[in-house]
Amino acid sequence: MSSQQMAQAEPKPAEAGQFEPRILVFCCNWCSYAGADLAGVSRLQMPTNFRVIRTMCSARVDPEFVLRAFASGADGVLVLGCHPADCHYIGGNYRTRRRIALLRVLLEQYGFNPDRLKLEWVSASEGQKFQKTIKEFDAMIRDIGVNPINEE
Amino acid sequence: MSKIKLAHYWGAGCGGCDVALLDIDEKILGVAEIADIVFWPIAVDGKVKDVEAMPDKSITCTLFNGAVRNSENEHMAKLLRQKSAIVVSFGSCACYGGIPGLGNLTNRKEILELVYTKLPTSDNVERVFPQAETHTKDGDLELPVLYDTVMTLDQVIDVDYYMPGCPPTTNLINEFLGIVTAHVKEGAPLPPKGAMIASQKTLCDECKRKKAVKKIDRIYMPHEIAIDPDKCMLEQGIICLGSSTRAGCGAKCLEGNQPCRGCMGPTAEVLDQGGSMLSALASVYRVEDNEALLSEDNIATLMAQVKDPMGTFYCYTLPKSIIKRKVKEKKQVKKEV
Amino acid sequence: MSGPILSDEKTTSTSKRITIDPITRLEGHGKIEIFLDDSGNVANAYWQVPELRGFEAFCIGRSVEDLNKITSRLCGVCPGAHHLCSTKALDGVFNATPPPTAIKLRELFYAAHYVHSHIAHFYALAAADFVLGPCAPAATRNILGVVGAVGVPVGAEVIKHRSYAQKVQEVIGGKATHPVCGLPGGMARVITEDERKKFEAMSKSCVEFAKFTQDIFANVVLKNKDYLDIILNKDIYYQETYNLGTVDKNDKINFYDGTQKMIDPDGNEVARYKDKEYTKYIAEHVLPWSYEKFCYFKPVGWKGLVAGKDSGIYRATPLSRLNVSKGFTTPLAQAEY
Repeated sequence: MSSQQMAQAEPKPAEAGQFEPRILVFCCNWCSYAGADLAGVSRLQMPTNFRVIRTMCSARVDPEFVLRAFASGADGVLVLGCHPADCHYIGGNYRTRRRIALLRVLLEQYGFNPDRLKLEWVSASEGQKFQKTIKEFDAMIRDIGVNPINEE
Repeated sequence: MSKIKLAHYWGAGCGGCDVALLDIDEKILGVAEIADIVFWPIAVDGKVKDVEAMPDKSITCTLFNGAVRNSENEHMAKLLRQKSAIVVSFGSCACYGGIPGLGNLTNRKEILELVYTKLPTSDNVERVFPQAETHTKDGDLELPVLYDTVMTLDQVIDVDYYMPGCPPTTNLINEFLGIVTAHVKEGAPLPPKGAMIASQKTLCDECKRKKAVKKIDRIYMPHEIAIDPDKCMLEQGIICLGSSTRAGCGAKCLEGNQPCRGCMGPTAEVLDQGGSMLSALASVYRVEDNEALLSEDNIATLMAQVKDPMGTFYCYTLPKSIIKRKVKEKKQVKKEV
Repeated sequence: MSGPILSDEKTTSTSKRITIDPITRLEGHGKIEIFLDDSGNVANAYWQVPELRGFEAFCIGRSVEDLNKITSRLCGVCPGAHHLCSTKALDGVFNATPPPTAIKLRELFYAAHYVHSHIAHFYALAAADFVLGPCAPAATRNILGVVGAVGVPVGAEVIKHRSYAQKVQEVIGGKATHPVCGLPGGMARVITEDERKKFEAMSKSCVEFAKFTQDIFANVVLKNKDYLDIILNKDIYYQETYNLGTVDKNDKINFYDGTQKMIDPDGNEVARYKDKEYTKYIAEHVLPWSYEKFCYFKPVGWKGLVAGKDSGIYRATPLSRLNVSKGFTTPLAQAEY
């Protein structure tokens, strides 16, 4: 993420003392980004404290991206891809699924709550699922609390 | 021709890098021809006060091995930087933290508690711990302060060159000594600052094993199968860090019929060796016919075959990784029983 | 070759404290603080270990199969010992008895390790004291000074035979420093007939070199009365302590396997135990001025840093190995016993 993107990812100033999570969402180009778009044009209400980075496929989300997001202070990272069997590149999402499963174990070893990283399937027609995913993830991150790296 | 001055020092290391310098065998006599070894605790009788008395930049080249784990390591790193024209980060611990870098999975307090009070052999009901200062009837004694976090050499001082390896191989050491000798004798240019004295490729490039199709069904520990010495280790289901590791070591562990554990660190293109290997390993699992029907739990179970991702993927590079050390969540996770 | 320099100009210390930092020609970090009384004699001395890496803590959570690779990093001069020790612990964890071939390979590997380690110690680390003498100029007291004194041809023999030992370890273990060969219940790699023949030739050469070394020691040290007066002086180099070493069923020295035998300062056997029972016999005391813990024989107990039969302090060294045993199993070594 460039510094410019980071600056844009800064959340709106929260009320004093209130924790406003910073959430990063990776969306695959073919399904999830279109799903997010649909949620937007459908005017579905959801928290605004997330920023989207579009990748061609969820498998493009290198574990390095996720680790850098947490090291840079993200409180939660969502990776959204095409449903199983729907990947534009046939099997990219299967790779993603394995990486995220392993990455969650690794994050736990780093001392993070592994629930700070979540994988979900959102198709181009699932604007509502996008909204639901964001709302639920935001609520969960609020419950988990601030990224411990930000507290040090 | 006046001789150049060499120093070799250890921080939080094991002495293996020092032995590696002896392993260049008869070439050590060639080193003696061009250089005076002015400080090398494992082999030469110089003291810290001798180094302190040297003029700044008077040591031509210091090879610094070992990580920075306490205040003495940091002090010596800074002192030798001040006294040396060139500093080489020598070996995996100095470059990436190395095995002692795994200490970043714990902290000062946990280490002291365990080592001095909780081991089966501990005899310490009085809970005595090593102190920075102790007053004895004879006088005051000092000890360095153990740090919470293990650091690499270049996180503490400016480093000119890097030579990874646990320990660096004879070939790499000879290569570097050749560069220094040519510089001293013929005025040949030195490599650009920050150069890595190693290969620029990945270890797979150097490994002689036959590689075919990387698709595995499960992971094996090295003792669980009869390893084919001619076939790619990863293709046999054994986690080998070769694909995420810099070449230059001659694939010696593979010659010993065991997988690479990544002591040479990542290549220049990769920031995080562990993340890179995690990605590679997750990708070589065979996709099942019923893949679409597998649940996230199924996949989690499959990936749980990697028993210790941290120790496997970051065995030598944790302090140089993106996250660097273990963190502590305020709200503890409730583990399901 | 002139004899060792055993005395130098006496100087008077103006300080009441002498600091030796770091100790040199030894693996590991250490410093010595010596306190003098009003008449300039030694009142007390402290040997401090200023380092701790915390292996005990960061080994927790690692795959048990990886521990023999991790713990070898305790020491890069004797990694073979730590690697095999941990490998034997793995045999125990998996309840796996290695086949005879694997045991022979381990013994061969360890013998080679022993040759390397003892050549390194004898010639590179210790020889400066008895060939050049403890009062030789500090700048010459090192391996290069020793080679200068004994001549390049002898130096070349030293280098060649240490190199042989490293080569044998490298072939069996992948790497000589930080080998990867040990697996629970076995070894990672077989050796070929061609390699075996080479090993045999190198081993025979090493035996001849050992005889040569024995002669050097006899000529330079044992025949030098002035030297013996120093090292046999009971006021300087003599401590009566318990001794611990590994012996076989005939009480002969064994380097790979056997039982631990402890004798008291009078030479009486006071304990004999298998490795896994060690916590019954050995405990560790903590003092605030050193990161090193102080091991003692538990049945006698910790009575402070004092020698004698009433103090649990013991040695576990090459000397104690000789003290506890009834000799060697090989004829040439037995002849020297």
